[in-house]
Amino acid sequence: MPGYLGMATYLCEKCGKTIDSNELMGLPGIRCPVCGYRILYKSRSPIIREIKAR
Amino acid sequence: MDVEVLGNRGARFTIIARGVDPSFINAIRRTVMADVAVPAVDKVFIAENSGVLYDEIIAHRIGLIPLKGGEGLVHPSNCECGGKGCPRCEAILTLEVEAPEDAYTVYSGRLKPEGSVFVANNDIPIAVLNKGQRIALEAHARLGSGREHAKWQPVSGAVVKYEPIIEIDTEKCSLSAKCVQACPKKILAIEGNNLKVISVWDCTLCKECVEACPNGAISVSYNPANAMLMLESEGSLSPQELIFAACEVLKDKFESIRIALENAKEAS
Amino acid sequence: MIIPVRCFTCGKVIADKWEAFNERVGKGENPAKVLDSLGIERYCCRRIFLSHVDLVGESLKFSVRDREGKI
Repeated sequence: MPGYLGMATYLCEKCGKTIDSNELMGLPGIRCPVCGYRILYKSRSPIIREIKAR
Repeated sequence: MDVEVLGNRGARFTIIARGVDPSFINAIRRTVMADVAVPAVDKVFIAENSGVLYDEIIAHRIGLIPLKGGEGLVHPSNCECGGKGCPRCEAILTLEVEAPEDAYTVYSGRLKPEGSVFVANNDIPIAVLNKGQRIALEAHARLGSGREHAKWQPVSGAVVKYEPIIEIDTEKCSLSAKCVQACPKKILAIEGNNLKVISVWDCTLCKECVEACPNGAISVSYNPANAMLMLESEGSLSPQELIFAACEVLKDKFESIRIALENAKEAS
Repeated sequence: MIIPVRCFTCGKVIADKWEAFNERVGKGENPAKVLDSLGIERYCCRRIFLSHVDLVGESLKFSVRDREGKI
């Protein structure tokens, strides 16, 4: 499972691979390192958020 | 004091207190609104939420759901934890849903109680999800009062009013029925050869009937010795329980004045 | 967006009655009579029903599908 606390992970729209921000760093522009597709979704971080209910 | 129950229709409860000052009944009304402690969700821990509604919106909606129970809970201000939140002053509800279809509505009935607090209304929509979207969260409920936030206010309607007095001079009355039409609350009616008042307590003292009468046969006044109290509960406690709880709160407040006065030092 | 849980002004729970209201008014019933039968008496609560536009269905169309809970 890629990603630790504080690191963002992304999901490729086309191939469904999970990519972490380090893998995106070396690429020219935002694209999937596996298939080259340019639509990525940012995944929710695994941290449990505490929110005031008011 | 003499109390009569005028209506007990669902959540709405109306009593008439005779021979009592309206300010006393009003003290009970204000205490019910601001100082009776009831549970409500105050903190939400969201692990998963892939729906379109933001975490904050869902947390806020869960906070507004009326809750019942919580008898064993300690008010956070009196708790050993100092108000931070612990099992003595908080009760937990959990929600875990995955939508089986598109446009799936998640209702408050899905909140699973893990402690002594339960949802009072099972039909409140919390969120709408598409197929496969998920919500997983833990809601921490605690006691609070309406003074702090409106979600702890156990009533939506709380009204005190004087007894209205409608006097009809039968000698002057020409039974023109102009007052019957003028009354916005429809509390006047003509029965046989008499003008009758059907329900005095619905009168709002607007005096439309006085203005409509061509002969000046009707007069409206009020009697401050008798008062009506109407409470509309949101389900946390029944209206009767709310009145008892309010009396308990008032008693404690007066007791604290007595203690403070006994310990008071003379000003130097 | 989605129907508010409580009336902004008096705090009455109204969200549980929205679906019945919407369905009955959609069938051509008079909104005033539907609100009366649902027990929504005060005008603070009634205005929320009458002015509410339920847009949550519209935003659902643009939501990203969850893939095994990864988004």
